[in-house]
Amino acid sequence: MVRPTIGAARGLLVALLLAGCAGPQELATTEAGLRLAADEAEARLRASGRVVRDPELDAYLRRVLCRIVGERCAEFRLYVLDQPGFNAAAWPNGVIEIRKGALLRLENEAQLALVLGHEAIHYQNRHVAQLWGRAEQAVGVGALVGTVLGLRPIGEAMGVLAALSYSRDMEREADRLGLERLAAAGYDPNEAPRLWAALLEEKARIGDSGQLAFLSTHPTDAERIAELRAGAARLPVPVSADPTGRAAYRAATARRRGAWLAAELRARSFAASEILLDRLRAAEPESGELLFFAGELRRLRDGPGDAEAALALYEKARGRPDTPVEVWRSTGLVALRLGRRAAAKDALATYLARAPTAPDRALIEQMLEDQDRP
Amino acid sequence: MRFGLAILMLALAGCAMTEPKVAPEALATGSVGSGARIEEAKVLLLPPDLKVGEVGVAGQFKPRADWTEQAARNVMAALETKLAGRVRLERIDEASLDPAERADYERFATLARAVGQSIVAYGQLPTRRDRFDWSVGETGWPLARSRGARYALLVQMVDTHASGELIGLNVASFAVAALGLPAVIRTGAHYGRADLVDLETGRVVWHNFMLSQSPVADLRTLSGAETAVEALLRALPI
Amino acid sequence: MRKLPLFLVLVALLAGCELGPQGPVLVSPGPVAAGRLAVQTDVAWTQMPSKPPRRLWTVYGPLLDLVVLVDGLEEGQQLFSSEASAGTPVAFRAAATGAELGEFVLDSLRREGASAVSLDSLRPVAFAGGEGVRAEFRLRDDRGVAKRGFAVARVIDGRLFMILFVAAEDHYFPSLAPAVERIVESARIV
Repeated sequence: MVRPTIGAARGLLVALLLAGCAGPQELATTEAGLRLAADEAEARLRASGRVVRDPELDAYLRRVLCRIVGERCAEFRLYVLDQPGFNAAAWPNGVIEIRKGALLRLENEAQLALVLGHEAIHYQNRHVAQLWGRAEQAVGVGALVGTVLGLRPIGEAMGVLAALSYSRDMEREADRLGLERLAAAGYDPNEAPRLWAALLEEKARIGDSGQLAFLSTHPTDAERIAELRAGAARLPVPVSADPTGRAAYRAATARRRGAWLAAELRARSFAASEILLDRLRAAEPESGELLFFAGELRRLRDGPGDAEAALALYEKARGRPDTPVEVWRSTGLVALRLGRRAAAKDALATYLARAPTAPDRALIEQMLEDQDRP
Repeated sequence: MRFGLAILMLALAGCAMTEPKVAPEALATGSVGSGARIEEAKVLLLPPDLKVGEVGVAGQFKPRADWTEQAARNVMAALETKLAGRVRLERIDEASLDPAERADYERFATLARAVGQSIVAYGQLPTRRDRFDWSVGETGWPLARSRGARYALLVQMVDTHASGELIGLNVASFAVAALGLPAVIRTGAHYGRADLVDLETGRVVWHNFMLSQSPVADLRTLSGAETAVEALLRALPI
Repeated sequence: MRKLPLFLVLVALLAGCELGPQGPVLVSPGPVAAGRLAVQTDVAWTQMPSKPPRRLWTVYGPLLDLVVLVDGLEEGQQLFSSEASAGTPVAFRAAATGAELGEFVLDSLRREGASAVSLDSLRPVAFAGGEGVRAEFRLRDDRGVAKRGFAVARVIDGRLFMILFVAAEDHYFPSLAPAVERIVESARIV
């Protein structure tokens, strides 16, 4: 039962006043509490199915992390999240999460090292604890009950976090140290300003689509990029055949890229996805996979002229070694939309011939039958 | 004590505890589940899910790691004291599960927790009110085989304590309530939930849930944990 | 909850307990009119508060099992009206082919926090007196519970009519699927 004794309350208030404001004792307690919350969130994340489990990819990311962070990399646990959009974050208990949407947008190993290293610095310099502390203020007791009853998705707390950002000073600290580590690990430090500038440009062109959550938590402006350029210029570019590690990054991520692009398009932020695909295609103009997904973007967007454009892209993609078999299915669907029944029939029949275990086989067969009817 | 405050406290009491739920077959036979009486069977204790922290003036919850660790030790000790004499209890240590067991265990634990949460959140739905037939299906079989256990006990508790500022505020709320006016008293709260699952049949054979807007017992002390465990596991059929 | 006299009820409401009538409602076995979708159910369901043209039914609670009846979703509308979705909404397109309807359902589930969503099959079926499409899928929800489901849908005059069922793969799906299949078979558009 409720026991509100005035004496006890006063005594506590006095004790608190004497203890003063948040001393190191309280901060340590808060940090420990945040660690606890993070541990629990990690357990739920592992159970949730949101983590992309790919041992080879995980091993590669780990290698890069250890190269940039050094021996302390043993403190971290890396998770690739099944979410589109560019984001990466460190948690107060040593978790570093990176979305597959980020892995799609990074161009080379140097940029990957930069992002992982940057988050590691925020963790090691206790910026993360401070950020989470602020988030914790925003979560009320209603959320407590919801969380306790498990009725609220894990994403909600993370959503609150995404709304907060590191301070300019924290970013400066992370930038300075990040550049040094990048160079010391043998990467080209100019990749740092390059990456931030590319993100900023994407945001400027399409506005805040939510695909660039990374920029929200890490505020960036022209001044920051200029400082990064100046800092990078003072550091030596490593002498190496591939100082940005472009080939190594491509090799490690090629297998997964198709699935990531499919998920990216599903988020339906077409403006951002178009910029991404344009950039990727510029670097690999012969890639059938990229041509296919450029077509998919137009098929899903379905704006004026998109259907025709999609068909043209599918046509270019067909016959290339890295084009997925779904190109035939998509060709058929778009041809149908444009009323080109003969072309649709051909394409869908080819799809069925080449993809015997397609889950939508029965449906496609029906569609073919329908085309035969007058 | 003023009438208004008395009414408020009565109402809080009315909202605070629900009756523990027992599956009908257990009521009928006096034993839990068909077959083995629970005294003869082994009960797996999953790691209790505990959180202890402070509630501030705005209602925000701050978990305290030190309090939670204390609570974990106390609650575990209290559970063992309460149960060890009467059943064969085996604690599950999630960290030391071998990989072969882990996937099956997680499938069971994930579903069992979702079921436990559903009993609390949705146990009063029109299609649930007059029956108690919750199940985890066959997900408990691998665990039953590998550990030779018949039952699993899942416990969850959240304990919140008013921070200094909130206690000060409560004094004012009581003053208001004492005048006979309704006032929501936002003290700390205690929430506890326990489910006993028959791993062979998959049925949740026993469930209890407690939510009170006052600390039932302070989990940071051993005696407090013993009080909370006693209240939560009251009418556990063993 | 024990029954409380009226004035205690009022105070209890202040203290935050839920006793109101505009919450979940019982759907008894028999014929049910879900707007223009008329169905027959031989088991009882709880209808949860929801925004038309969707109706949410459950037996054990939406964490474990959920039936969504959609009667006349319009062009541009989302399947689930949750504000939690980030990015451009997954919108229904009246001109969607069967294949695109399948994508619409799975993408909508993904937006609600489902992960590892995979399509087991997508095929044409008769539904509600006409030609429709049926998708069968698996997924994991936000808590990591493995779930299984199916959706049967048809577009009439540019509007989507659908019955979707998702439930925990262990016990709940096998236990309730037959009852939902019978609801689907009985469905008619009025």
